[in-house]
Amino acid sequence: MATALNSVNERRLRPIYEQLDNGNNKKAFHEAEKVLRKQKDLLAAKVLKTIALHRMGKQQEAFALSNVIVAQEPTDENSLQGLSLYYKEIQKTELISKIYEAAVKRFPTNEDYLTHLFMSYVRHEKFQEMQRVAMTLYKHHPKNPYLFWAIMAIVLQAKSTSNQKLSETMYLPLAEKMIEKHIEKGKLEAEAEVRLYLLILNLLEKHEKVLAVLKGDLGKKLTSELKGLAFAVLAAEEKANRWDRVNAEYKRLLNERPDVWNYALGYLNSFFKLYGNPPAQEENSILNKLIPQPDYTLDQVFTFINELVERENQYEWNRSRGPYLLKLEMLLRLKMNLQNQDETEQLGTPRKILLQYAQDFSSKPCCFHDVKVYLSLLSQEDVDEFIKELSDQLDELTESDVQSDLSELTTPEINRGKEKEIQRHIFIVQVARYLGKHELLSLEEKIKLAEGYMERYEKGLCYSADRPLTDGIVVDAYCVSVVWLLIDIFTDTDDAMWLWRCVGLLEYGLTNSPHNYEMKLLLIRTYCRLGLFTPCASIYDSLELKHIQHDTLGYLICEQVGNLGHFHLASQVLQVARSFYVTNNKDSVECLITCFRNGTFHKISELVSYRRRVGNSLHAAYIRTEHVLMDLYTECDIDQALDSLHENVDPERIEFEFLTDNRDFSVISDINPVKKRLCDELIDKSFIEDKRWLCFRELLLRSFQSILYGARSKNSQQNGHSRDVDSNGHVDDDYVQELEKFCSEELPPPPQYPYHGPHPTKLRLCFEAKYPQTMVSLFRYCQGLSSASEDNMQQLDELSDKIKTVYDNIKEFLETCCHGILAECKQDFKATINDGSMLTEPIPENLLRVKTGVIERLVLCMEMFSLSALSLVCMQPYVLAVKSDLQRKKRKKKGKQTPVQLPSFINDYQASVEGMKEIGAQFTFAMKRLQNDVKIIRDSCKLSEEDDEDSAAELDETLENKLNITDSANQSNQQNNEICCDVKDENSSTSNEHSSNPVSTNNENIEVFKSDEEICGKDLSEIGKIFDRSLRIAAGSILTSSKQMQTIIDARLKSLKDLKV
Amino acid sequence: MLKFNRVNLDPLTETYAVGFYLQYLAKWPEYFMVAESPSGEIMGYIMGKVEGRLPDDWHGHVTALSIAGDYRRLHLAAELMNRLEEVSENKKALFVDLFVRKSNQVALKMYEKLGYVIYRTVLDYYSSPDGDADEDAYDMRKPTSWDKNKTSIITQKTIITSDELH
Repeated sequence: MATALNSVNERRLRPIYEQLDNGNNKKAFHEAEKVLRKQKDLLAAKVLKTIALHRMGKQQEAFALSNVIVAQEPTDENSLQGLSLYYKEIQKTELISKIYEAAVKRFPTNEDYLTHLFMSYVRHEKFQEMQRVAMTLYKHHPKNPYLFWAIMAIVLQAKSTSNQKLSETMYLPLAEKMIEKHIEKGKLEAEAEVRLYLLILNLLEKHEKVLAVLKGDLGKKLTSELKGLAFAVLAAEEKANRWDRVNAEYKRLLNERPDVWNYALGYLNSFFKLYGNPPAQEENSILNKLIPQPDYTLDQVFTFINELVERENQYEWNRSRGPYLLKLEMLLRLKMNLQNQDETEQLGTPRKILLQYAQDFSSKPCCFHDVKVYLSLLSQEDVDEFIKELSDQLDELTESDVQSDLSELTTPEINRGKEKEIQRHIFIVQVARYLGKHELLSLEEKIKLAEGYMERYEKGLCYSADRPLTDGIVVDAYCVSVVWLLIDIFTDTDDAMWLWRCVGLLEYGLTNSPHNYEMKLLLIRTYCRLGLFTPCASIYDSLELKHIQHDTLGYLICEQVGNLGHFHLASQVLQVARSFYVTNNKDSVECLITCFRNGTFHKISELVSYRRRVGNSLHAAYIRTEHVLMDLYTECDIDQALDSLHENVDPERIEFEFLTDNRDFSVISDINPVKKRLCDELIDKSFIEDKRWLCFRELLLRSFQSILYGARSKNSQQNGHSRDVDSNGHVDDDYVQELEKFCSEELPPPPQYPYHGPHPTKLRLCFEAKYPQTMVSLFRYCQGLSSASEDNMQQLDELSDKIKTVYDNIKEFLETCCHGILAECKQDFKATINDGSMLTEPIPENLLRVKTGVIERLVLCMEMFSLSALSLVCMQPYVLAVKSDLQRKKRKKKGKQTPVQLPSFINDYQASVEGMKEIGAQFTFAMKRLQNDVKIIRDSCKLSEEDDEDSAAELDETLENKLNITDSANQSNQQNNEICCDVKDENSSTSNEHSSNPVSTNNENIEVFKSDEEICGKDLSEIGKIFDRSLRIAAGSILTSSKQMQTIIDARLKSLKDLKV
Repeated sequence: MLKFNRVNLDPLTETYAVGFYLQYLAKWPEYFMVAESPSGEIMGYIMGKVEGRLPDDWHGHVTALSIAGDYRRLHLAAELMNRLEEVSENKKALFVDLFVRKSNQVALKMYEKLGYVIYRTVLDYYSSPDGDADEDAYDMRKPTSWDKNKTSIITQKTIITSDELH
C-alpha cells in the first residue's frame, strides 16, 4: 500500500520537477498548485512550490511556506531532499540539520536520515555532533565507514581544539583505542582505514608504532599510491629520527632516479643530521653489501655526489638537472652550516659548477630559476669573471653552431637553434641583472644597454615566427629586461616619462606576443602608477583570471580600480570576487562531504585547513568591507545607499589575528638585484599595512552603520513608518572611539616596496588629507545632533566646531588637487645615442604633462565629501525635530507674536549645509578643469579622425553602462539572496560580458590604426602610434573618472539643495 | 592551488572552479601529482581519475596536464604521464585516455611519442581562447598491460559530436 501511494505521489510530482529542472519556475509553481488542489497535504508538493516561489523572486513568501512545512516535520525523501536543496540555494544550510534532526527524532535508527544529518553537520564543522551521529549509525548499522566517520570526527576535534592537552590526552588516545579495538576484532578492511590509523599515530607522535604497523599486515593495504608503503615507511623513519636508514634509503632512491629533488633534499637533510654523529654500525649491514650504507662524512657525500654527476656526464644530451643541482645545494648548505669551506674542493668551485650547469641547461628558460639561489655562492670577485666566462661560453657554442652546415638544416631546425642561442644570452642578461651589474651603470649606459637588448629583440623575433602564439616568444625576455632597466631609471629620476616608455615597449611587445602574462602584469602596474585605469580593464580581462585566482591575484586591480575613480567597474570587480568566496565556501564544503563518502580521510584535514585559509583571506575581508563602503559613497540615491549599508554589513567583526595573506607575488619572475627584489619581509610588512588599512575601512563602515542607522529609524518614525528597530536609534560609540584611537596612532615609516611588489595602501594619503580625523569630527557631530533635545542646547552649540573641521579639512584637501591634471610643459628626454630608436621616440608632450596623483586625490576628496554630505542629509530629521519642539513650546508660552529665536546649532547646521554646497561647487569646477584638460589631450592626438572622436571615452561609457546593468542586477540579486545555485553561471556570464567589451575596444582601435596608416603612416612609427593611442586612452580614462565623480557630486548637491531647516 | 598561477596563466590552461579540483582531490587523491622546482615553484601538475564500467571500459583518464612555460622541454610532462599510467596499472585499468586540442601540436606529438593513438575525434569539444569558433578534440588512448589484445583502441566510429560523448 505504502509503495503504491509513493508511486502515485511520484507520478504527481514529476511534472513539477521537470518544470523546475527546465527553469520554468512559473509553470512549476502552477503545477504544484494543481497537485495541492487535489491533495492539499502533500508536503513534497509544498516544498517544490517553495523552490518555485523562491526562484520566481518571491523570497519572503517562499521562506514563510518553508517554515510551515518544517513545522509539520516531514519525513519523506522528496520533502527532505527538496528542502535541503532550497536551503542550499538560500545559503541557510544550517537549517538542513534542523529538518533531519526532526526526522531522526521520529525514526531514530533510520540509516538515511542519520547519514544526511551527519553530512549536514559536516557542512558546519560541528565535529562533536558528527561523532555522536556516526556512533548512532554504527550502533544500528555496524558498517565500517560509520565507525571511521566517528573516529575522524574525533580527530577533527583534536585538531581544532585550542587545548593541546585535551587533544593529546583525550581525543587522540580515544580515537587510537577505537581503531585498535576494531583491529583486534579483525575488522579493519580498507586502505583508508589504515591511513586514518597512521594519521592518528602520527599526531600522537608514536613513530615507532607507525613503523611497526607499516611493517605488519596492515602496511600491505597501502596500495593506491605509487610505492605508497615504501614512502610511508621512509616518512615514518624520518619522524623517528632514524637518520642512518633514511639516508641510506634516499641514497638508493637517488641512484635509481637522480632527478627527483625530494630525494636529494631527503638525502642532504639526513646527512646533516648524521654529520658529526656517526651511526652505530650494525654488523650485519656491513656484511650485506647489497644494502646501501648511509653517508656520514663529507668525503662520503662528496664521493656519492661526484659519482652521480659523473654518471650523468656520460649522457650526451638530455641530462638531468638533479645531480648538478645537488652539488650546488650541498655547497650552499656547507656555506650556511659550516663556515669552513676549505673542504669543498672535491666538489669544485661554485663558479665552475655554475658554468657547467649553464653549458648544459642555459638554453632552457628554467636555468635561471634553477641557479638563482646558488648565485649567492659566488664571491664578489667571482661575479665579473663568471659573467665573462658565460659570454665566452656563448661565443664558443655559437661558433660551433655556425660551423655546422646550415644549408643542410630546415628552417625550423635553424629557428630552434637560434632560439637556444638567444635563450643562452638571455640567461647571461638575467644573471647580470640579478647580481647587481645593472645597478652600477649610469643613465646613459643603461639606455645604451637597453637599446642593445631592443636590437636583439627585433632581430630575434623572426626565429619564433613558426611557433603558435600561445607558446610565447623567447625574445620577450629582452623586452622585459629593457622594461626593468627603464624602471630603474624611473626609480632614480622619479620622472613619469620613463613609465610612458615602459608603456610603449610593453604595448609593442604584446602586439608581437599577445599571451605574455608577465608583460601584461607589468603593464597593469605601470598604467596604475600613471593613474589611468581604463587600459588595465582589458588587459586584466585578457588574463582570464578565474575562481581561486580572484583570491591570489585579485590584488592586481581590486584596490586601484576604485582608487582611480572607475566606480562602476570597481563595483563589478568586487561583486565577482565576493561571489567567488561564496561559491568557494559552498563547493569546498561539499568536497568535505565527498571525502567522508569516499573514505579519503587523510585529505579531510587538508581541506579543512584550505577552507580556513581562503575563508580568512585578508582579501576576502577587504572585498566585503570595501564593497559596502563604496556603495555608500557612490550610490546616488541616499535611501538606497542606506539600504545597502543596512543589509550588507557583515554582522561579525573582522578577526584580524586570523587573517591570512594569499596574494601570489611570484607571478612576475624576479630577476632584480637584491635591493630591488621582493622579499618575504616586505610582503609581511605590506600585509601589516593592509590590515591597518582594512581596520580603518572597517571602523569607518561600522561607525556609519551605527550612526546613520539610528538617524534613519528616527526619520522613518517621523514619516509614520515605524521600523522594526532593535537598536532604538541608539548610537554605538565604540567604533568612533576606536577610530579616534586609530587617528592618534603613529604611522610606521612607509616600506619601500619594489615596483612589482605590493601596492602601498592609501593610508598615508588619508592621513595627509586628515580623512580619519575628519570622519571622527563628523561622527561626533552626528552623535551630538542625534541626541539633540532642549535640555542639551548648550552642548549642541559646541558642536559647530566639529562640523567646521569637517568642512575645512575637505576644502583644504581639495585645494591640493583641483587645478587640473596637466602640468606645465615638460621637455622630453633627448637621448644623444641612436636617435629614432624605440627608446628615444618622442613622447607626446601632453602625455608627459599628465600628473599622476591627481585622480587618486580627487577620488579621496570626493569620498570624504560624499560621506559628509550624506550624513548631513541623514541628520536633518533631528534638527527639524528640535526646531519644531521649540516652536511648539514657545508658541504655547508666548502666543504667536514673537518670532522664535533659534538656537545657534540649528543655524550652524544650515551654514554647514551651505558650506558643503560650496565645496560641491568647487568640486564641479575642478571636474570642469579636468574635462577641459581631457579635451586638450584629445585634441593633440594625431591619429584621431571624425568617427574616432571620443571613441575611448565612449567605449568606456558603454562598458560602464553595460556593467551598470549587470551590477544593479547583481545587487538586487544579493539583496534577494539569490546568488547561490547559479553563481557560477552568473559569474561566467557577467565576466563574459565584461570581457567582450574591452576586446572590442582593442579591435576598434586596431581598425582605426589600419585606416590611419595610410594617412599618417609616414609620420609615426609603431611606438609613435602606441603613444598616440595612449593620448586617447589617457583622455578616456580621466574623463571616465571625472564623469563618475561628477555624477556622485551632482547627486549629493541635489540632496543638499532641498535641505532646509 | 594558491600557488599555481605561473602554470595556469598559460592561455591554453583552464582554471577550473575550486570544487572541481577539490572533488578530484577528495575522490582520486593518488591521481593528483604536482612537480615542484628546487626553488619551491610549481613547475607543473597532472590531474586524473579512474572510471568506467568493467569489464571493458575501466580506464584511467587524464583530466589536466600543464607545465609552466619556464619549465618546458624538460620531459616533465612525460614523467607525470608515466606516473599516472603506473597508478592506472595498479588499479587494473585497461587503458588511459585523454582529450587534446586538435591544434595543440606540441602536446599531440608528445602523446604520440608516449604511445597514445588517436581513438576518435570529438567535434567542437573546446571553447576557443579568442572567442572564435569551438575547436575539435582528439580522444587519445593507450592500452595498459591489462588489455592484452589491445582491443580498447579499436573503435567503430572515428568522429563523434560532443553530445555523443555523454
